[in-house]
Amino acid sequence: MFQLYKARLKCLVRSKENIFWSYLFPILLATCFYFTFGNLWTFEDYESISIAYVSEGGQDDALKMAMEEAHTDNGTPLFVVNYTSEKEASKLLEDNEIEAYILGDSDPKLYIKNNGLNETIIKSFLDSYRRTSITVQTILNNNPKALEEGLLDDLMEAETFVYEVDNGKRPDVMLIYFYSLLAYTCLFASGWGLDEVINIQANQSHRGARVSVSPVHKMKLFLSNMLAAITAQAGGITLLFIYLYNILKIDFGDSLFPVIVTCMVGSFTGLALGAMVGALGKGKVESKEAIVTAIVLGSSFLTGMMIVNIKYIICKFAPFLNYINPAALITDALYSLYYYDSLHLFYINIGILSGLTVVFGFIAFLGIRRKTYASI
Amino acid sequence: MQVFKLYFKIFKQNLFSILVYTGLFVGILVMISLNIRREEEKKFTSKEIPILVVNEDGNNNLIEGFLNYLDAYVTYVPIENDEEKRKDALFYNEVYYILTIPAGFSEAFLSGNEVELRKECIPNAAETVFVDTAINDYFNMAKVYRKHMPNLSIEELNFYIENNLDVETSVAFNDNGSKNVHKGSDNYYMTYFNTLGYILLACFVTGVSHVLLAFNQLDIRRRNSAAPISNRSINIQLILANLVFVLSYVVVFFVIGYLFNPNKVIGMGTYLYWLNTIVFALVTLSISYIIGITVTSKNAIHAIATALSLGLAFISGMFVPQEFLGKAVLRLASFTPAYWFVKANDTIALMSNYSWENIRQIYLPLGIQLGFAAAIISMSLVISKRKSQQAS
Repeated sequence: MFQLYKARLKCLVRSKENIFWSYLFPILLATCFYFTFGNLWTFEDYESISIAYVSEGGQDDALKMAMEEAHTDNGTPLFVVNYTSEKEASKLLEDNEIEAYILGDSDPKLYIKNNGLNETIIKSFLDSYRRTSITVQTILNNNPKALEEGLLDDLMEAETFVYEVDNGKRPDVMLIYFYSLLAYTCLFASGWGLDEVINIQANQSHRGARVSVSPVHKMKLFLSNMLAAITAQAGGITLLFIYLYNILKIDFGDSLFPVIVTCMVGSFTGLALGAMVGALGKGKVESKEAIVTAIVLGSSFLTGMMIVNIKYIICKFAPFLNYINPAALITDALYSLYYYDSLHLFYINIGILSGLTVVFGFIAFLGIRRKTYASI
Repeated sequence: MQVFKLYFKIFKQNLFSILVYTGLFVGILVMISLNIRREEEKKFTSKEIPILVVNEDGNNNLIEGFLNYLDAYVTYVPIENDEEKRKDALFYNEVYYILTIPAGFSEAFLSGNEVELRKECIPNAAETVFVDTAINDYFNMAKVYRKHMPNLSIEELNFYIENNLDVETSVAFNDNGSKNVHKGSDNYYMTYFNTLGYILLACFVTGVSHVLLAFNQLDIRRRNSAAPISNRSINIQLILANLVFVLSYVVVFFVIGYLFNPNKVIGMGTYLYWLNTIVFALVTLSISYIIGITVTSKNAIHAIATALSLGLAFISGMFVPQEFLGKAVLRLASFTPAYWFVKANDTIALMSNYSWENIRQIYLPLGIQLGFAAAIISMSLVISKRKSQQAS
C-alpha cells in the first residue's frame, strides 16, 4: 500500500503547475487581505478635509475659529477652510474641489454632495459645536459668573467616560477574512478529492479504466490515493498557516493545537466533498468540477470571504445555513478559538464538520464500491 | 469562421458547467445587490444601533434620564445576563455594543469623583463610535451643568441636556446641478459596478479558460497548426468568439443591476457605467485569454481565478471603497487595470452633471484600461505564436 501511496504522491507533485498555484494562491490572497485591512479604519494618514464656509460674520465668528483650531490627535488640522460666497462654494462642491460647504449663521447648515466618511466627520463636528454653544447660553443665563469660573475651559476638557473592557479578545472583522480564506483553502482540497475519484472510475477517465483491470483492490488503491492527496493538501495548508501565523502575525487564539485540528478536519471535509460529487452520477468530469467549484466558492461567499456583511445577513435571516455550510463551520470554529474562553462553540462546529465529512465520505464510498462495467 | 463556430460547439458541450458557473455568479451578484440596497436604505433612515445595557448600579433618576436620552440613538436589546450569551450576541452582531454601568456609578458621578463606564463592542464599526460620542456627550454636559449650576436637580439636568442634544445640524444635498435627477441611485450603481468588477474577473477567467482548455491540448494544437489557417486568424476568431461570450454576460449583469436598482432610472450616468464596464470586460477577457492559453491544469485555473479576482478586488477597492484604503496599497493597485476601473466608477458617481468637462475626467482611466487590454492581448499573441513553434 505504501508503494501505491508513494507513486500517487509523486504523480501529484510532478504536476508542478497544479502544486505551484494551489500552494501560492492563498498566500497571494492573504497578502492582499493584509494590505487592504492593515490600513483600514485607522486614521494614520488622515488628510484634512477641504470645506468652504459661507458667512457674514467677521473676525470674531466663533464657528470659524473653532473650525480653524480643530485638529486630530497627531496635530493634522481637521479642515482646510475656504471662505467664499455661497455661489462660489456651490461651484467648488460641483467641481469636487471641496467635500462640503457650511452656510454659517446662528443655525449653520451643511451642504454635501454625497454621503461618506468625511461628511459624517463634518456633521459630528458641527453638532458638537452647536450643542456646546447652547450649553454656554443656558448656563450663562442661569449663572452669569460661569465664564469667570472657567466654563470655557471646562467645556474644552471633554472627558471620556466609556472604556473598553480589556479582556484581550475583541471581536475582529479582519480575522473573519483570514479565517474564511483558510476555510476556502481547506475546501480547495475538493479538487484533489474529485480527481482521485475520477481517476479510479473506469467510466470517467482512461486511467480509471486502466486501474480497473489491474490486480489491485480498488478500495486499497483509492485509500492510498486519498492519502496522497491529503498529504499534498496538508503541504499547502501548512505553508499558508506558517505564512499567516509567523509572517503576517494573525491571531489564532491561545493554543494552536485545536487550530491545526480544524485545518485537518476541514481538509478532510473538502476531500470528501470532492469525492462525493465525483462519485455521484454519470455526468461529465467538467460538470462535476463546475459543481465542486460552485459549492466551494459559494459557501465561502456566504461565510463573508468577499463581503463580510454577507455573514451577518446569513446569521440574521438564515442561521441554519451556518450549520451546514462547511466553510462557515471552519471559519466559526477558528473564530471561536480566538474569541471565546470556553471550547464549547468550537466543539459544536468541529462536531458538525466531522459529521458532514463522514456523510460525504460515506456517500462517496457508496458511489464507487463494487462497480463493474459491462461496457464503457 | 470555422474556429469561431467550433468555439460555440465546445461551448455547447460545456453548457452545463457554464450554467453552473453562471448560476453561482448571478447568485452572488444578486446577494451583493440586495446587500448594497440594504446598506443604502440604512444610510437614509436614522440608524438605531442595537445595544445591551447591563445596569449594575440599580435604577435612579440619573441613570433613567441617561437611558431615556440614549434611547434616541440606540435600540435596547434584552439579552440574558450571562457571559457566554453576551459574547454570542456580539459575535453574531445581534448587538453592536454592550454597556456596563458599574455599581456605585451614579453616586460617584454626582459627587464629582472619577467614574468609568465599561463597554464591549464590535470593532471597526462607525456605529460604535456614535454610541461612544453620545454617551460621552451626555456625561460631559452633565458634568459642566453640575459644576456651574450646582443647584440643579437631576430632573432639570435631564431636561436641559435633552434640549441641548436635540440640536442637530441640518444637512442638505447640494442641488445646484439641476440635471442630476437620480442622485439616490448613484451610490447603488457605484457600489454595484465596483463589485461587478470582481464578478467579471472571477466569472470570465473561469469561463473563458474552460473553453480554451480544449484548444490547448497538445494533439489539438498540432492538428490546428497543420490546418491551412494562420495562427493569427485562429487567435482572432477565438478572441471574437470570447468577445461574444463576454459581452452577452455583461448584458445579463446590466439587466440584474437595473432590476435591483431602487430607482430604475437609466440616464447618462448609467451609460457611462456601462461603457466603463464594457471596457473592463475587454481587460478581463484579455487576462482570461492569456491564462487560458498558458495554463493547462484545471485546478491551477481555479486557483488563479480565485487569487486574481479576489486579490485585485481587495487591493483596488471593489469591496472596500478606495477612500478607506491606504496610500501604499492604492499606489500598488494603480499598476493594475482593476484600480482604474474602480477609479472611473467613483469618478462617474461624483459627477453632478454630465457636461463635457466632467465626462472628460474618465478618459484617462478608460484609456489606461484599454492600454492594459491591448498589451495583454499582444502578449498572448506572442505566447501563442511561440507555443505553435514548440515541439511539446
